[in-house]
Amino acid sequence: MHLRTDELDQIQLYVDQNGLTIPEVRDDVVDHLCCIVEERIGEGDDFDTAFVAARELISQNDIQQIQEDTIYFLTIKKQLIMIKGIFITAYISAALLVFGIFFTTLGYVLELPDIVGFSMLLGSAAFFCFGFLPAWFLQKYRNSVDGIKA
Amino acid sequence: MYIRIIERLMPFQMYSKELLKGTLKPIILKLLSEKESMYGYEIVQAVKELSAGKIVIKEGSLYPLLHSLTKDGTLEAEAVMIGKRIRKYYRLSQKGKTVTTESLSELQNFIKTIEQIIYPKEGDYAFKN
Repeated sequence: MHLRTDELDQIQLYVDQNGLTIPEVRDDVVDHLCCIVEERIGEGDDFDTAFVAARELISQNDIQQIQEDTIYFLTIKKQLIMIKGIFITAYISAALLVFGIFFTTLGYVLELPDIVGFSMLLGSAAFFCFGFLPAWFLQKYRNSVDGIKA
Repeated sequence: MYIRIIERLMPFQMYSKELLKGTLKPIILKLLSEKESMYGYEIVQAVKELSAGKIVIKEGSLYPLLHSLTKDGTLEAEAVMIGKRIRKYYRLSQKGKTVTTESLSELQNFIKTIEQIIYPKEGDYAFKN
């Protein structure tokens, strides 16, 4: 047996009201709730009783958890890559800064052309401004948004 | 309330979270390797039936994992209209078949190792000292 449109609407409303916004997962959870309700109706319950039982099995917290866990699973790899990028660009930038200062000082003391030291300092600034800072701010921004949503 | 929190932390019932952590993926892949395709509720019911009710997969653990496996290409999902709602049938992709073999082999190996540690036989390292 299939549920009536108004009954399906109630189930969809329950899922939507609890913040499950990822369409594919929403469809899964709606179908899961419908299956539970249909099974209970098949055993002799009316829709309201069956829906209460289904909500006990998949509570509001469960729905919110499904949303959070799905986002976590989908973004964890990207986040790890981003964090790795932050550390790598920070390391390269710091290393170039140290060597840049060293070669610039060496060039000044020995009165050599300071193109090597200058290039390293320039590279350090480039890595810092166009690598480390954007990645770091993006990560901070995402964490802040997640914090507000939570 | 505490029971609710514990239930939330446990993807399964009956067995402890620590014991079963990491087995959900091979269980799902194994089921899908034996059937053409399955939908979420069907997977939960199949696991419950096969384990005589000892393992009940929580929806909160199942759907994020199914979605993640679909996203990384291990599973393929097909949406079918059932009345006025959408039902998604999951099946193994070509990559998923390889992942299943590897995952089951790893689990089998792990179980053997645990057996060797917990129930060492005569001749194993535990009896050498």
